[in-house]
Amino acid sequence: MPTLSRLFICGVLLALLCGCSSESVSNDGGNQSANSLSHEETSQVIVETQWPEEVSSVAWLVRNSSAVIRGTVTGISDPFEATDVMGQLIVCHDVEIAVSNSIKGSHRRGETVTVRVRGGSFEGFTYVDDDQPVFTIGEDVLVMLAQNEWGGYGVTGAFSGKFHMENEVARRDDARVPTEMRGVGIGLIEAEAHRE
Amino acid sequence: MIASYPNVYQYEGVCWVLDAGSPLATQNLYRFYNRTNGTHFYTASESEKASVIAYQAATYQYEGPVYKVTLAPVGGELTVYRFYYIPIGSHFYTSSAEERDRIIANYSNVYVYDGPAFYVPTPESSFGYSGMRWPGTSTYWSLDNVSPVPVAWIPAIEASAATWSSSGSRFRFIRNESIGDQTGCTVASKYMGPTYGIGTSFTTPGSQMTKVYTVLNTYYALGVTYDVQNLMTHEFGHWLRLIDLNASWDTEKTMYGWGAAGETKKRSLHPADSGGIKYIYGQ
Repeated sequence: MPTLSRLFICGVLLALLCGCSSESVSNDGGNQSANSLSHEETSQVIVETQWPEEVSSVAWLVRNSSAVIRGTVTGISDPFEATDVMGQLIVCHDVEIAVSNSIKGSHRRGETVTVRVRGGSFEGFTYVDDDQPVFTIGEDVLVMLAQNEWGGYGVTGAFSGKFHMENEVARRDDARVPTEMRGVGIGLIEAEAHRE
Repeated sequence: MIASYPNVYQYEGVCWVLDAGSPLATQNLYRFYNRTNGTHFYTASESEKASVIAYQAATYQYEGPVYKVTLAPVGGELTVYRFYYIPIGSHFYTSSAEERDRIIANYSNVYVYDGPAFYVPTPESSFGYSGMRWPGTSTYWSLDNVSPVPVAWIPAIEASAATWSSSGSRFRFIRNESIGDQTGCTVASKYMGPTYGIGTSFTTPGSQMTKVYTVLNTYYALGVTYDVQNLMTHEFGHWLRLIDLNASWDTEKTMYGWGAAGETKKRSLHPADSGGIKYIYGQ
């Protein structure tokens, strides 16, 4: 995907020019946490997350998101290496979404928004985070977005903040989400956004 | 049976539900047909099965394994008790301790109590195990000194470790600030925003683990809305390589994947949780 590749290369160059390191990203005052894991130590990291129950509620997701958009997935980058909030090397991929409806935030219809998702394999190193949302190209999605450690967007509440659109119903067919909350009318989400 | 033999068999409902995916469900339960009285005999004992086949084949027709149970319970499994019914030489099974006691008290002239026959891992007693474990039966843990947790949380974290260490298994968490961050487990706190959960554990997998660390996300009101001991007891379970459970019958377990505001029930282990650590590390 040329656009994302260029973005990534630009990002790497910018990071090199700025001297951005894991320490500066994690704001640890220049010290790497002793618990960080490197490629030399492991070929795989498994991530397990405890979520608060509120994360499954639409009201919580909207309230804790700086942007809520509906759109079509137009691109998914190859996995690449990044440094997370703790200064740990991880693997990510970026997802491009062409906005069809901006429900919260300043994005406009037709704009492309990039969302970073943690997980994937890069040069023999695999980062497994089963709570991260899964996107497919061409998918009509609604996503709750919040700023991540890289200054871009991640999905609020991970798996809980990504919906697959079926007509005007936002669906989360994930066993972790209570059954009664898996299908939500888009009108309800818009109402929550307007309530703020 | 219901349709064909209502005059012989009275349907009483479901006795137990087996969690066929449980790591404990490893022992075949074998069934025999008693030609003399038309009943069935069950055993999970390999030696008893072999003995019946060898010496009582005229009476008992071997029908093979029916499903898997366990003979080594670690806590929470359903115990199935067996009686021998003297008048016709059949066997009676019950998972009700109350029914067992009533029969022993009132019908011991016709029912001979054989004791526990086997144990059934049920969804309520189930735990999730990743297949990985620490070498040996202990590991060090420490507090991260770069993204430290507030001092006020430390007693709660220590209590969480102690809960698992005193759960009846052989495993022990040992706090060691000079070694724990090199090999073992560390706990840190950090503002991670709402794209992360309340607590996240990062594990280096392998059949023998060397390092895990947990980050408590201060985006959430930890120590105020969310109980740190409740949260960390769950995370220590991940350190042992138990995995999240999310079914409706798992809500009372420490390894239930969702946390709730004001929740403290995860501070205490459910029998399924302590069963998990006993299964992995022995008791």
